[in-house]
Amino acid sequence: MASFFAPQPTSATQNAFFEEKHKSYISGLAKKLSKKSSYEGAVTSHLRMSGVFWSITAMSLICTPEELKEKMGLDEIVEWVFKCYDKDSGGFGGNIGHDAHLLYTLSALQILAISSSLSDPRLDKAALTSFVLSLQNPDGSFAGDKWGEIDTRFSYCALQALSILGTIGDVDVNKCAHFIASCKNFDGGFGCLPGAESHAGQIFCCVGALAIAKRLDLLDVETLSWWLSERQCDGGGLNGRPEKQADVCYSWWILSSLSIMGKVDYINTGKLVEFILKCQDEEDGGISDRPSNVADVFHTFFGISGLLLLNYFDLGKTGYKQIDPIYALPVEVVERLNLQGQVLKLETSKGKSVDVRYAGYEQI
Amino acid sequence: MFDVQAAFPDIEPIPQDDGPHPICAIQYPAHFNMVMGYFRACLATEELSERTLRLTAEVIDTNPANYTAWHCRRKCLAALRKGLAEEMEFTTEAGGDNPKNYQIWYHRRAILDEHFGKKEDGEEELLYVDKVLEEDAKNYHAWSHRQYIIEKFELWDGEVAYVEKKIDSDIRNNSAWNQRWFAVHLKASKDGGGKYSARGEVDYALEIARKDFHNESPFRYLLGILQECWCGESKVNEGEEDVKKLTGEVREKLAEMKDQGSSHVHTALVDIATKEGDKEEAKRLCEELRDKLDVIRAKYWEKQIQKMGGGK
Repeated sequence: MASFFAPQPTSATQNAFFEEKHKSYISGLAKKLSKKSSYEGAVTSHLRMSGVFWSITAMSLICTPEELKEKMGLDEIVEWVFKCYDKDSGGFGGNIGHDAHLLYTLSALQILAISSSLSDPRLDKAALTSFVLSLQNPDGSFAGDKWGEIDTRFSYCALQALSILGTIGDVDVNKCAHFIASCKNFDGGFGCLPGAESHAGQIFCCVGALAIAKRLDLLDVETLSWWLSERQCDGGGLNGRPEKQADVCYSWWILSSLSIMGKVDYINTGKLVEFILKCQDEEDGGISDRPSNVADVFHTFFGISGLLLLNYFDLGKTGYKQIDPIYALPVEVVERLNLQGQVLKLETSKGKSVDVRYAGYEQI
Repeated sequence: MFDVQAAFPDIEPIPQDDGPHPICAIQYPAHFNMVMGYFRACLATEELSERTLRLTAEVIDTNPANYTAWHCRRKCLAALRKGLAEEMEFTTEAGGDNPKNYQIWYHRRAILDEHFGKKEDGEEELLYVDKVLEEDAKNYHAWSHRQYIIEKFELWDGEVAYVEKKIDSDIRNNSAWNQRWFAVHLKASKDGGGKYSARGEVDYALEIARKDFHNESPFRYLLGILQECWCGESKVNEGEEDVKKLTGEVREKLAEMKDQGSSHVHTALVDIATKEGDKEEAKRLCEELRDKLDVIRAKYWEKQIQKMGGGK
């Protein structure tokens, strides 16, 4: 971690991205977790699947496929993913022996998508599809598991999971979309349920789900994109709700939403880049939620993805890939799987902006 | 203190199988390992008993976000037909002063849905939520739970007054503003013949806005109400003529705040001027926002100006 006594960054390192440090941070995560505090490992054991997804995706964005395979032990991870499959319900759990949940079913499918393992004979696509469909309620909403908690996050998980499985035709997407629209607030944002306060994380789920459903027409684009722009604080970082502190995670939740709407340029991108770079741990690698806090794998993913959507990296550099704002996967994976989606036309700044989004999406 | 090992002499704990890759191999603390070993064994045998119920409490104590433990707990409660007031007490304790994990809130809801239906139950649950909101007035789950209780137990009558108290104690609390919208609209739909007074809401928002010109929430709320009026929504009491008059009055009142240097005042005026067809004024306001009042979003304002046919 960036210790209190760490030297102040010099002007030479101020705008640097510590690529090698981040790679060794992510790949050495297990060791670090067990050394630093085993409590951390214990409390995250039930969501291990998501942790693995964020680490692999973060790595895949800045590594060559060979590097990814070797540094992350991709083959073993795929074996482990299949061990988390819950035959009784037809979905994946967060760890071996855990009940199936939509959150981890999506993470598992995303891991398999990145590692080109979707055609593995152990993947029972029909059972997975029925698992997802069984969680839909008559009003179009989705429960996360058989216990029935409802949240717009699960609508996103369900639609993306079906899209990856190639069975999205089996669900009434308009019904899903209308439930999401019923969660729209007067500020243009979305909460977890109808009436719940707008929150940038939930907004990503709702905008992403509508993009997969190709129903972005249900958004109140102007009000929403203004509200999202207003999340930028004076320090350059973004917060998730008014009067809350800036946090690197919103660099992903908000930038991806703005990117789907073609409006990343509404915010001050230079200042946001600076904020994210300040959250790097320049000694041990990894990115934290705020400058000088302890890095974790989630914020490392959010930070790298944010920098990608901000066009910070030279994508000609070996291994570097663009992130897809709808699926949270490298664009090349979206392309390889021919995943479907919709984005809004890019709002250009006197023709200067480059569209970094997947060209195969429908544009409206 | 529940002695896990003594309670399960007949059970062989099942160790964690982390898989072959090091990213999954975590050194867990010994107590956690022991408790989880027995818990996995109980899940495997599907034993729904008093001792399993007590074991879930141990699991939750080591990690309140373990959703499998909460699920198993509900299964045991149903099988044992346990006293549920006690269960709510357990949940309150597990949550601490500022519960932020999904499982705890969902557990309360599931228990309420299955076993509590009287108005008094709802009122009692609201007292619990009040306490959490005293601790953290922006706890997202607490507000969401509050909405669920208010609808389920038909407790909307006092809600606008409650929210006013919350806004008084922190006028920048956006969660409370969202709750005001919810309460006003719910009451209108339940016993207001579907309508509420837009004028009343506008006056309230302006009153609070005047106390702090840099507070985003009341301005956002004000525009939300005006938008609903402009859309010709049948939800507002005011007719078309009144809406025009109201809009004009709001514009005048905001114009009086213009020299406060607040981007929110200007932003609201942009929307109203645009609505009233005053393009020149809207453009001028956008230029001030771009150059002086909201420089961090200069690019946003420049784009708005370009859409109005101007720009650098």
